[in-house]
Amino acid sequence: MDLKRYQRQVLVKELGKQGQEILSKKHIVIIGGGGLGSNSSEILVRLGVGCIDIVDDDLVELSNLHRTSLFNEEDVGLLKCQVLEEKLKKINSEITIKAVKKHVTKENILSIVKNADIILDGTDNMQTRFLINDISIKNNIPWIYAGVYSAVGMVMGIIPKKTPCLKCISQSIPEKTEEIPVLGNLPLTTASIQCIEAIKLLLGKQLSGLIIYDIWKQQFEKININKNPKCSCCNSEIFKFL
Amino acid sequence: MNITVKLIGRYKDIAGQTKLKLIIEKGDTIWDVVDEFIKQYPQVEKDKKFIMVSKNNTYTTIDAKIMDGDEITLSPPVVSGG
Repeated sequence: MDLKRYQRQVLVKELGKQGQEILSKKHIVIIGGGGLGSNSSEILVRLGVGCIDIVDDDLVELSNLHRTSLFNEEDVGLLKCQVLEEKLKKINSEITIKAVKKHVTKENILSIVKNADIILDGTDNMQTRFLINDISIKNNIPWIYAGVYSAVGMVMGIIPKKTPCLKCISQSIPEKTEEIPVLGNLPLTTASIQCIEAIKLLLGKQLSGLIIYDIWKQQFEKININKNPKCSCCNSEIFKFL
Repeated sequence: MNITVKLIGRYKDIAGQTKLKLIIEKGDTIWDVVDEFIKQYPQVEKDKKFIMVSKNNTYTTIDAKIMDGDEITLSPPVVSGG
């Protein structure tokens, strides 16, 4: 690792050279390469996380361009994960970046995440998030939930058996009845918060609980919560999505 | 029993305050609190099945019974876009 690249970053006392070395040895799997996942992947590549997999089987659409900085008009119709792999390698050639052209299912998710130190949520639906939650709790792999709606982003780091899981805080799956509104720069802001929680987790630092940020009103809230002692997933270990 | 309900996110804007004072009966559950909240602010009706509820900083099921002195927090549902 060439520390010159990170010379300003290692001056940050929360990270330092030791933290930078730790990041360079970590492996993050990002599920979803759209608004959240593309922004998270760019942030993590620039931060210097050693190995990043981006899992997505969708194509870049014109309607994606307002909420990501890596996709251009010329990328429309191409595979998101491959476009990201190609562009991210140009940003930081010291990082191992792998495009994984797969739709995540209960049959293949273990093979996708089994070597991950952390899973990052870049999905656009609750069904897949509950699947990630189940595999995380069952296999003891931390993950960082992130979601966006209109001008509100939510992030929560989940450490199996230690912090509340997604099922603790969300009993039911909201139906997807309409196209989800998203302000263009919200995914970048939310991805930035998500990546900080990921870095803190990798460095063994305290997470910030459930974070809710309204970028329109500039309202930032952190809710420190406990596990649900009756949670069907992290307490009773019933993995209904697997 | 008198209880305090802490509101999070847009629920604060809807109610115009960060905390609500409610009077509930002994044996009431969080369902009853949510119902009363919806009665006062019908615009949150669509959230009813997905509202995040916690009691004394622990997320809990909506059928949990409330005891005197419990602090209830109501948060909008987790968001799902990417």
